[in-house]
Amino acid sequence: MATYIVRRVFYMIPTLLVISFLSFLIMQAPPGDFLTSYIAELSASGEQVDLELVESLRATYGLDEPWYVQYWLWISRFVRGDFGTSFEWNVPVRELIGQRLALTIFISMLTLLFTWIVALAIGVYSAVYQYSIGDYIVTTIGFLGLATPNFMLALILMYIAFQVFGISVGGLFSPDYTNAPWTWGKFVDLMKHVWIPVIVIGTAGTASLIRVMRANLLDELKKPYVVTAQAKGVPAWRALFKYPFRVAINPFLSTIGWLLPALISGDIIVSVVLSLQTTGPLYYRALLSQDMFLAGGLLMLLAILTVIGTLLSDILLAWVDPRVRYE
Amino acid sequence: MTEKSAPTALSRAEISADVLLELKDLHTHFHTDDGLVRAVNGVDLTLRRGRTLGVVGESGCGKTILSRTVMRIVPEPPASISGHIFWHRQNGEIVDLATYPVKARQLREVRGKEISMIFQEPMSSFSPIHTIGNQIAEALLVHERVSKKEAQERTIEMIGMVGISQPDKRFHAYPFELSGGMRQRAMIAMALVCRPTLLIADEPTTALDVTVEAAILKLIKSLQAQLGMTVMIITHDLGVIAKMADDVAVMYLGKVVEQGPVEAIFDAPQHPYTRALLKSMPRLSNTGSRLEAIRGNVADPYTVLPGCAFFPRCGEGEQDRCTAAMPPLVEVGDDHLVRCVMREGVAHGRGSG
Repeated sequence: MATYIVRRVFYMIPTLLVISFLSFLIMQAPPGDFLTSYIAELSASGEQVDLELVESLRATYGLDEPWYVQYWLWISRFVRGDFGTSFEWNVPVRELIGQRLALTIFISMLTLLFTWIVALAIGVYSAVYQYSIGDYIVTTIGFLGLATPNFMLALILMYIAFQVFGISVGGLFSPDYTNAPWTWGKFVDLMKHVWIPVIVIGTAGTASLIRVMRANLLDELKKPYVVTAQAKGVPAWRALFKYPFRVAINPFLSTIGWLLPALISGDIIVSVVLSLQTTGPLYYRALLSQDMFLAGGLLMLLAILTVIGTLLSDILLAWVDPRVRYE
Repeated sequence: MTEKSAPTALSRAEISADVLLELKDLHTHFHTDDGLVRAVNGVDLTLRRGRTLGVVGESGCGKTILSRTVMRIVPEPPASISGHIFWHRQNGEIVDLATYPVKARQLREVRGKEISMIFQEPMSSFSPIHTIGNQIAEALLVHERVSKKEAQERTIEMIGMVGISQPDKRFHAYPFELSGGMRQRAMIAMALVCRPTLLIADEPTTALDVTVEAAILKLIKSLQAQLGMTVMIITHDLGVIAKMADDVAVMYLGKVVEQGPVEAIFDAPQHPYTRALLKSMPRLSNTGSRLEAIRGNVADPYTVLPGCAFFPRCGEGEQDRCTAAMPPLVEVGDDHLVRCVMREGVAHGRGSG
């Protein structure tokens, strides 16, 4: 098991190198660079362009160099922890991402927790009581959740929260707390706001995981080993959670790998609608304005999280399922 | 006899000391979308202590459902059970297992502790993600107040008893790491670890090759002698019956059509179905000729014709007598009963369900 993990970690290095190379190429693909669009924008609004500044920026970032020199400049700084400076914000990329990352991860973890708890509980219920009235009700709600676009749900919930509860729910903080330092009051304020994005982002995921859990568990419940447990005199709930549930949960573990990158990039539209200060909208802006170091930094972060997530999934799977371990 | 469910209807004579299990007019019906399936349709059987009852019949005759009904592990619904399953408990109580609700604690106490089962598919009957030691020890942990350590020790001892080498290592093995024969031995260990009074073996050797089959059957026999168990073996293989059984019940479409001591069944089979089964059994002595098959297939379980269910496939019957009504079980010898109108002449009738 230990050698397996070490080997997998070792494989991550070439994978990430290839990804960084490809993502750099993609960033370079559109014609021009940030400076050309910056100059165009400034001249369009009639402002004076400081050509000297532009030239010095070009020199610093080697924008006139061939792409492979640019790539080398970027990646060699990246591995040392210098992600470059965002052209648009004029702030180091590290700082920019760092500000939003904590909040993003907090919201995403809450969403994940919400999704799993609700999906597992309902999935188990509707599998064990298949075709009961309760099963039909949660299945219908699940399909509705799956079919409703997230931003639509966000708008509806915002409207309800404002009309019924009288709270403004744009953003994650009340205006009083937005720029205040962290206090208990600010945390409480955050918790008051955070449930809407959690529900909005979690609903579609919950709905599909309910279906997955239900289908998996129904498959497993028909397996002879369930009858064996019953024939041994094992109480029903214990037989359910020790055996078929453990097998049916495997797909959940294997999707952790996809969840980690979704933490960063996920639900951009919802974040825009709810004006959440998360990394999603930041990424979107960076791509639009060809802010290459910011976009590149976020892209690499996504790649690293994907690779780590996949590794985590594989380790978890090997841990719960001996058949994976021995293959 | 303070238990509410005690069989007050039974006469004293019938509650003899050597009776372990009595099935009375047992029915297991499945309500499906296609209609009612009478998988077990009025079975009367008695199992005596220390003996081996073989239940034989083609696929679809209700043997497996019968055995699972005894343990009440058929899914209810769609199944519904009626009749009586009088079980003589280890503490001397006689209970009717058919009367308890399916989730009753009393049923769980009997399952795995007093009545155990070996299944046909040892691979899929074990959970793929737990060690066999864990799954065997679970029976002990559920039924007896033992520490985990004690459960492990007794499990390892049991794994050794069923002839698996290096039992302390195999305790930590997963099912997929064992061969088919070893898995079936582990299954037997799991069934016997709580020292049950009755072992039900549902086609225990069907999934195994012939040499392993012989070893497994021998193992069951020797453990039966060692532990003083009663065995009910379900099979479609008359060879297995000949090796294992003291008594035989032949089932056809949910009913016992003939039952009796194994010698009587093999030497003087009375029911045409039993005779057809015996003829279709391969023997070393008739290597030259073609094996006889029983004509037709087991009938469609949804439609129930009046009279004898075997009549459409039987070559001996008479239209009027056989289709008039379901023939009763008649006694044709010592403990030898047959459900066939053609035998009524030779018998002194003893009607039954």
